[in-house]
Amino acid sequence: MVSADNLNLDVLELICSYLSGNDLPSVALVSKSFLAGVIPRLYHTISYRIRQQKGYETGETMSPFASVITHPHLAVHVRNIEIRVVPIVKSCLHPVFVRECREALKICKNLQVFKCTVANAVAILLPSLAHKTRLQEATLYANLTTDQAAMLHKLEKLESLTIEFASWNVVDIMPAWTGSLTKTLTSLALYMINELHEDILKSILTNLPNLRGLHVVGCPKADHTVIFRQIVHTPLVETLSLTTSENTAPLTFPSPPMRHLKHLAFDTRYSMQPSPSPAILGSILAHIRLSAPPLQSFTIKLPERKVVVGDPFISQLVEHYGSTLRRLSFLDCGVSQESIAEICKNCVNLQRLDVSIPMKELLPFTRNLSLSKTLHTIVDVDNHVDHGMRPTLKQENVRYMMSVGSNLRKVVSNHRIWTGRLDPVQGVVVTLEKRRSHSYGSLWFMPRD
Amino acid sequence: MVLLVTSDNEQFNADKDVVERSVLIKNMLEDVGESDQPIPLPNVSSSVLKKVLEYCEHHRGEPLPSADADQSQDETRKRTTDISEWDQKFITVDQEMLFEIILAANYLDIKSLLDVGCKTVANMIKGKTPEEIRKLFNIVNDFTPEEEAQIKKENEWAEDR
Amino acid sequence: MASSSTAAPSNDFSKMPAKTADLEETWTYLNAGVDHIMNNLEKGLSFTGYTSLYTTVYNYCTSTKMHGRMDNNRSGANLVGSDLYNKLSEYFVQHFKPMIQKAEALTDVDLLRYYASEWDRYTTGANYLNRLFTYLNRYWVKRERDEGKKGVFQVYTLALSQWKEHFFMHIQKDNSKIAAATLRLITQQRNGETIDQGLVKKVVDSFVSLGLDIADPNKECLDVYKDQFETSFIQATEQYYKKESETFLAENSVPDYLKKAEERLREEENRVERYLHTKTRKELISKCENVLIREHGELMWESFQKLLDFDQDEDLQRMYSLLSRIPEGLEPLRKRFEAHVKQAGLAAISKLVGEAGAATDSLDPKAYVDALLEVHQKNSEIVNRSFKGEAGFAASLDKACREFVNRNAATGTSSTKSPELIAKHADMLLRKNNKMAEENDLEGALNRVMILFKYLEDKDVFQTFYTTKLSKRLIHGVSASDEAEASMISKLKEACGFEYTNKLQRMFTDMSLSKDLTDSFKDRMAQNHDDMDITFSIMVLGTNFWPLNPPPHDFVIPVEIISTYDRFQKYYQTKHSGRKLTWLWNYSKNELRTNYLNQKYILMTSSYQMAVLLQYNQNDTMSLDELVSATSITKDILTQVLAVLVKAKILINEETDQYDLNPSFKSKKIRVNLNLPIKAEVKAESADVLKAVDEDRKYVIQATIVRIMKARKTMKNQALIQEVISQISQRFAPKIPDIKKAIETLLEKEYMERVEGSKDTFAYIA
Repeated sequence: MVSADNLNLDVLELICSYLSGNDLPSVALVSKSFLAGVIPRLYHTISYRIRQQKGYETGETMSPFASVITHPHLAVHVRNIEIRVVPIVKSCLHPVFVRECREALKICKNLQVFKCTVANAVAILLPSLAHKTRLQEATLYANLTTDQAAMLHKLEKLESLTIEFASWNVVDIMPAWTGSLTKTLTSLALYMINELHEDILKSILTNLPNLRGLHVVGCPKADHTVIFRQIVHTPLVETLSLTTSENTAPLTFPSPPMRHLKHLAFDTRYSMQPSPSPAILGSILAHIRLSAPPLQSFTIKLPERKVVVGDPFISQLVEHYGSTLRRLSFLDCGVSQESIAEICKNCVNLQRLDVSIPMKELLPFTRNLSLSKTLHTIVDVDNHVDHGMRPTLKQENVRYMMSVGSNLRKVVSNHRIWTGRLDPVQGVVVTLEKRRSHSYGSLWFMPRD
Repeated sequence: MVLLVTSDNEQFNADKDVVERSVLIKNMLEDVGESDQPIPLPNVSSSVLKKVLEYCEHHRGEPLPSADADQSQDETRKRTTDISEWDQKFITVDQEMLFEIILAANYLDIKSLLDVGCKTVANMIKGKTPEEIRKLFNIVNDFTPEEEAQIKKENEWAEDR
Repeated sequence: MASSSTAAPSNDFSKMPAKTADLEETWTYLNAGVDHIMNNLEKGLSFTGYTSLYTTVYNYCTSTKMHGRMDNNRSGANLVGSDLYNKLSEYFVQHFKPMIQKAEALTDVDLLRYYASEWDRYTTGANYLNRLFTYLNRYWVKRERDEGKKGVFQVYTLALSQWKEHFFMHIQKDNSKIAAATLRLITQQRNGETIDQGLVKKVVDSFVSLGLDIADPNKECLDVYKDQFETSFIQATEQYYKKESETFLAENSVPDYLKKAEERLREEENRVERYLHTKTRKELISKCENVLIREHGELMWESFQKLLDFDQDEDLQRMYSLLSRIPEGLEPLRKRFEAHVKQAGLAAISKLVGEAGAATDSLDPKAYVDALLEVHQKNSEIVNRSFKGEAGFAASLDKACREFVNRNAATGTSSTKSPELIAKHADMLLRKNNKMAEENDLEGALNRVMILFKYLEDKDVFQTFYTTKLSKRLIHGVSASDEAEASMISKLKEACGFEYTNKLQRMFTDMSLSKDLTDSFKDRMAQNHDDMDITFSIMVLGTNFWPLNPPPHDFVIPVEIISTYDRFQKYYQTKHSGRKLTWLWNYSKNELRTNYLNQKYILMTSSYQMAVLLQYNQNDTMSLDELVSATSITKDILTQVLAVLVKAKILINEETDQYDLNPSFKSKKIRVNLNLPIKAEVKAESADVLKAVDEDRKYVIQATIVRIMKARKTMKNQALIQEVISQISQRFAPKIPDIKKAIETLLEKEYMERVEGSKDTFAYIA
C-alpha cells in the first residue's frame, strides 16, 4: 500500500520544495524519510536574525552553523546565508559563534548568496568566502582595514554586490575590484558610504558598462548631480536609486541616455527651510525625460511623514510616465488625496501602490483607489512610529476597500496579508493569510518581488 | 490509438495525443515505433491509470513543459501552490489514491500532474505541527526521543514564529 | 480483460527483477538490455522490453529503505543512483575493448569507415539508453550536478565522454590516426580525386560532438574539434597551397594563376559548407588568402600594368577581387592605375599637339575636349567594370584626370589654357548651326563638358571666358536654344553655387527685359508717331554684368538713325530716369538696303561699317581723312573696317587712302554679311580675359582675407595663408606670393594691422 510513509525520496523532495518557513522544521520532525526529503529545502537558506540569537549565550539554542558543522553533508545544500545579527558577549562578537560561522562557511561550496550586515563580522568571515566559484551575490557591511579590504579581490565572478558603511580602505580598492568584475557584475549598491566621492565613482562605473542596477544612497559626496554626470558610463541601467540633496547646481547637459530605465527610487533629504528639493525633483524628472525611459516603478522616501509629496511633482510624474508606471511607493511621507486620485486615474497600468493608508480618510481614499481599473495590491507602508496611536486596519475595512476597488485583491498592513476573491454568491470574500514575519531586512530601495 | 495494459492486466485504449502527455510513452512510441502491441505499465494499476487518463484527456493539447523549466525557477522564492479549479476537483480523492497518482505521474513522467499532486500534499502539510502531520498521513514516528530532541534543536533556527 | 499474448521477440526482457532486488541482480538484468541496445538495436525492441528496462531502472532508483541510520535515506538514495551510474560507466569502457583491437588493424579509409559506422551505432544506442535511464537523469544526475559534483553527466553525455576517453583518444594516440586519415582524404580531394564526403562529414561531426564544456554540458564545445583536427587541418592546408601556388607560378602566367587561386578559394568555401564546422571558415579562408594571394602580391602588382595596357578586362576583375581580400592589397594597384591614367591623358594630348603642329593657339577645342573625354571615359568604365566602382579607384581616376586636364602638352606652363579651350568648346556647342553634336545629344555633350569642368583647378578662368562668349552669343543672337543655355547655367550652378552663375543669370534676364523694352517702345512709337521706317531693336545691358567695353573713341551718329536714337533716349528716360545709357557702337549691327544697284541687296553690317557706308549716300568717293572726321572712328580701326569692305568689294581702293563705292558690286546672295570679326579683336579677347581674371583674383583673395580676419579677429600668418587656400581652392588654386601681396595691400589700406610684439600675427581693424 502506498502511503506518505513510503514515498521515495525524489517525490518527497518535490513536495517539500513547495513548503517554506515553519513548515520545514515541522516536516523534519515527522519521520526519517521526511527529514531526508526536506533537508535540501531546509538548508537552502540560512537566515540568522534577532529572533535566532535569543538563547544562544545560554546554550539554549544552536546556531545553524553549528548544525552544519555537526553534519557536514548538509553544507552541500546551503545556497543562501544571511547574517543580520551576531550574539555579543562582553561587547565583543561571540567567539564561538564566529568560529562556527567561519568553519561552516568554509565547507559550503555551493554558496550563491552571502549577506552580512553586522559591523566587524565581515572581516572575520571574509577569508572563508574566498574563491567560492558559485558565489554570485554579496551584501557586506564593509568597515574593513586595508589588509582586510584586500581580501575582497578574492570574491570573483560576483553578479550582484551591496556595500554598506564602507571604510575609506574599501572605497580605495573598489575601482580595482570592480575592474575584475567587469564581465559578471550587473547590480551594484553603495549605501551610507561617507568617503565615496565622484572620482572613485567614475572609475568604478567606467569598469561596469553592462551594469543593470545602480544604487547610490546615503553617500553624502555622491548626490544626484554626481550620479547624472557619471551615469553616462552605464547606459544599460534598468534600476536606479539615488539620494537627492539640496544642491541646486544644474544637471549636466546633454542628459545621459537612460533608455532602459524601468525602476527609479529617490531618497530625498530635506534640511533647508524652505527646501529647494521639490524643484530639484522636478528638474530630475525633466532631465531623464529626454531619453523617454519606460518607467515601470517609482519609489520616493522623504525624511519624515509630516512632509507631503508635492502635488505638482506627482502631476509631472504622472504626465510623463503615467502610461508605463505599474508600481508606486511613497515611504515615510504623506500623499494628498488629490494626488492619489490623479495617480489612479492616469496611471493606466498601475498594479501596486505602497502608501501609508490614511485611516481617518479611508472612504475618500478608497473612492480614489477605485478610479484605477488595474490596481490590485495596496501595501500599507511600515509606520511603527505611531504605534498604538494609529488605529489598525481591520478585516471589515479591507473588505470594504476590495468591494469598491474593482480589481483590488491584496492588502498588506502591519504584517498581515489579506487576499480577496470574488465569489458569485457572497461577493468579496477576504481571507487573512498567515502572518508574515518582519520583512527580510533588505534595503528599501533594492528591487523586490 | 494506443493500447495500455496495467499491472492488474486491464487494457485501456486511448488516443495517441492523450497518452503522449506521458513523456515515457511519448519517447517509447518514438523509439520503438507505433504498433498494435500493447504497452505494459507494470507499475500502474487500473484504478490509478483511469484517473491519470482522465487528467490527460482534460489537458490534451496543452504544451508540454520544457526540459529546463525546473532549472530556471528561483528556489529562494516561495513557489506558488495554486491549483486550477478543475485540477482542484480532480485531485480531491482519498489519500491512498492521491499518493498512487503522484507515484504514477512520477513513473510515467507527467510533470504537470506530478506538480498538482505534490502541491496538494504540500497544502495539506502547511501550518501543521509534526504530530498533526503524522496523524494526517498515518506515519510512524521512527525517531527515538533523543534523536527527535536533537533534530529539533538543530533546526530550531529555521522556525519562523 | 484478456491479456494479450503476442509473439514477442526472443529478447523481450519480460523477466524483470523484483523491486527489492540488489545491485548485482538488477545490473545483470540491465546489462543484457544495454548490450542488446548497443549491439543489436536493429533487431528491435518491443514495448514490453522497453517498459521492463525502464521500470527496472525506476524501481532500483526509488528503492528507499536501506539502512537504519538517521540521514541514511539521502545517502541511500544517492548510493543507488551512483551504483547504476558507475555500472553503466564501466560497461562503456568494456564495450570499447574489442573495438580498439579491431581499429588497430585498420588504416586510412577503412579505419574511417569503421569509425564512422561504429559511431553511428554507438550514438544511436546511447540515445536510446539515455531515454531508458531517464529517471536517473531527471533526479540523481540533476542532484549531483546541483550539489557541485564534477564528472557526473546525463547518460548520453556520459556515453560520449567515455567514447572520447577510452576509444577515440586511444586511436588518436597513435599519430592521430583518425585525424590523419581524414586529412589524407581531403588532400586527395584537393588533388582532384573523388572522395566519400559523407564519410568525412560524419567523422568531423563526431569530433564536434565529443567536445565537452564541463560547466555547461549542453553547450556546443569545439575543444576536441580544434585540438584533434582543426589545427592540423589548417596547417596542412597552408602547406598544400604554398607548394601548389609556387609550383604553378613557376610554370604559368599570372592571369592563369589568378583563375586557379579563385577556384581554390571557392573550393575551400565549399569544403567548409560540406563537411567542416562553420567556425573554421574564418581562419581557413584567411590563411588561404594569405598563402595564395598575399605571398604573391608583388607578382600580381607587377603584372597589373600589362593587364591594363591590353584591356584584359576579365583578368583585371579577377585580380581586383582577389587582392581586395587582403588588407592593403589594392593600394599598389590604385597607385599604378592612377599613373596609367595620367600617362594616357598626357599622351593623348601630346599626340594631338604633335598633329596640330607648333601652333598651340590653333588647337581645335573640340579635338582637345574629345581627347580628354576619351581617356576619362575609357578609364571610368574600367573602374566600374573591373574594379566594381570602388571608391579608392574612382579617387585615383579623379586624381589622374585632375592632373592631365590642367597640365598637359597643350597647356604648357599656363594655368589658363585648359579652361580657355574647354570654354571655347562649350561656346561652339551652344551656337546655332553647330555641326558637331546632333540636336538631341546637345544635353549629353554639355554633360560631358561638365565632367571636364569639375576637374579644372582654375574654374574662375573658365567662368570669365564663358561669360564673354555668352555675351557675344546673346548679342549676336546666335544661341542654339534658350533651353540649352539655361541648362548649362543650371549645371554650372549645381557645380559651383549661385554666386558663380549670378552674372550669367542676369545676362539672360537683361535679354528678356530688352525684348520687352523693344516691343513697348515700338508700341509707344506707333501710338505717337508713324514715321518710323527703321526697324529698330535695342538691348539694354547692365554694366556690371556684361563683360563689354564701350568704344574707346567718339562716334558720330549717322543722320539717318539719329531721330530714332533721340526718341529712344527720351523714351528710356521716362521709364528709368537717372540711368545713364552708354551706347556700344562697337557691338551694334545694322542692315542696309542698297538702292544704287540693279539688284537690291541687303547688307548686314557693323555700326562702324554702316557709319562709313552711309557717307556714300552723299558722296561717291571719300578719302580716309574725310571718313575719320565724318565718323570720329580712330584711324587704325577705320583702316581695318575699310579693309573688310574692300575685300568684300563694296568699296574700291585704287588710290591710297581713297575709297570709292563700287557700282558694279555683285553677289550671289541677296543678304550679304559684311560683319565679320577682326582677327585682332579675337586675339585681344583672350588677353582681355586673362587680365580680367587676374584682377578678379586679386579682389577675391583680398575679400577672403578680410572675411576671415573679421571672423577670427587675430591670426598667425601661416594659418591665415592656409585658411585662404582652403577657402578659395574651389574656384582656383591661389599662389602663395599672390596671397602675400594681398596681405600687404590690406595692411596698407588699413583693413588690418600687425600685432605688436609678434612678427607674424595680424589683427583685424574694424
